[in-house]
Amino acid sequence: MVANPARRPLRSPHHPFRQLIHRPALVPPFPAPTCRKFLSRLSIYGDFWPRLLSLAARVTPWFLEPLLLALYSTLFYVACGPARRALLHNLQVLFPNDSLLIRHARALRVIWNFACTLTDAAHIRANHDIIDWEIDGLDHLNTLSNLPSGAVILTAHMGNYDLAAPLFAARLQRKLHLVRAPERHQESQAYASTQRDHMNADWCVIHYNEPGNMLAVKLTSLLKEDQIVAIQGDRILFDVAATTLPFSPQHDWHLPSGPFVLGLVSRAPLVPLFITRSGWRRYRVTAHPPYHWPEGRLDKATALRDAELWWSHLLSQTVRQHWHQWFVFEPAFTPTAAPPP
Amino acid sequence: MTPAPAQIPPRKPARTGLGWLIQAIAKSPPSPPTTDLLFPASERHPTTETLSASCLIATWSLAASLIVCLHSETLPASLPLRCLIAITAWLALIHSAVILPLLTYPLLRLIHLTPQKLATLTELTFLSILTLIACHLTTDSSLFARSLGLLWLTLIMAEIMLRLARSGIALASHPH
Repeated sequence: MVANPARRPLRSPHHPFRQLIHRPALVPPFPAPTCRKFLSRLSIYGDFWPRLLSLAARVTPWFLEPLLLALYSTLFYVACGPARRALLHNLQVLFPNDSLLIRHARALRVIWNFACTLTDAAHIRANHDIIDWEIDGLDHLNTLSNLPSGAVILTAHMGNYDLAAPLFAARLQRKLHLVRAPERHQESQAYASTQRDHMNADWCVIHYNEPGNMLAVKLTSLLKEDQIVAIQGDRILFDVAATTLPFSPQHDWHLPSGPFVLGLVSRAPLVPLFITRSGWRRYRVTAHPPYHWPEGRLDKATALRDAELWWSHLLSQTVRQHWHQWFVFEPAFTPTAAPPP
Repeated sequence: MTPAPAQIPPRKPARTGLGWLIQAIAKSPPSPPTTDLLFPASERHPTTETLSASCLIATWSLAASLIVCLHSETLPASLPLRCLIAITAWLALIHSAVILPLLTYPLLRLIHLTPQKLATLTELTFLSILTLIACHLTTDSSLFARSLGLLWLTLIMAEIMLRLARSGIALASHPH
């Protein structure tokens, strides 16, 4: 008995309908992948928006900028469902007693701050010297510059660390290696990489944490060469190794474990440094006392856990204080696992 | 970018004539030192002035757009449709201040117009369009529309006079 070709699954390349679709006469005027690729550039992670922002920052009248920022923050807030839901979820953990309306207002404020930081970055790329920088904890920053060994700067996804990194590097007079997650979109990554290369001074090098590039090995060797590495210690993106730490009695959060393993292997001190927006075109860099690893032989698991708990405590304080500038658009918290009986 | 002592935060010069007048009248008290070091920017942006100007222009232009569309004799009679057209026209006006300069920049570059000059030109053109709308509103039959038009004309005249005064004072106090 001969099988009816129309009964084959539609996914099969031998299905008569698919063969019909792939006939040259029915091919659309431009190939579908190109069209999809073009449309994907207009998506939220595409390179259309950063390019438009860079151009618009050059010509927009100053009095229209806050208005356009407010309009587009609202538009993106409405359009970006997954990010909005993640923000609301995170804010619910931070402020459990808030009503839904207040939580939405807080989430919109986070988006507004994010839009402001992106716009400020676009201005800087256009060579507009518009940012006032404040530095808190100058003693700790001076300690960092006088350290004979390498150091791991731990930071969070707040403020404008892209802009702050060259400032630090110039101030510390030491080469700063900044670790970043790559953009999700290929064209966006290419564009962002070009822009950052243009912006960064000789003192600052950006490394992208891409799968298979053996970054951990490279960073360890850099730390052993007494250089400074800056890593975000608050976001789990792609396949970054994570550790679960207590945030509150009811919730845990997942933080990357890589910076601590790196610090432990190289015994480099961990220096917490946060960048926050303190006003219109004004940012504050806050440096905290560094974390030094215990001397001599140590139990690696205990030492690692102690460092992670120290960072978790400091980060939770900062996040509670500057919740409106914590740009984490993924669910960060999970309910605390019940203790085994 | 040079560091400045944080104890005396530098005062940001106003960008508008009205802001300059308010800054001259109201002496802001020095804020307490909260930072160890400050790297001031060369181009200053007073927060209150920027946000106030943006708020004023946004509110005024939206109100003017609504009045023009509600009083128009050519638009359909439906009130929601008129409101929708008004909001769309307002959004188009706001965006035209960004899109049009971007589209015309390749041409304007031929006459050696820098982005800074283009931004100033855009600013002046946008304010001129709003002033024309204000002139149109002053001839309206509604008292509210006339008041709105007169409010803008008063503000823009005061702004021009104060900018001239500021330039005059700066020129007079400049050491020759």
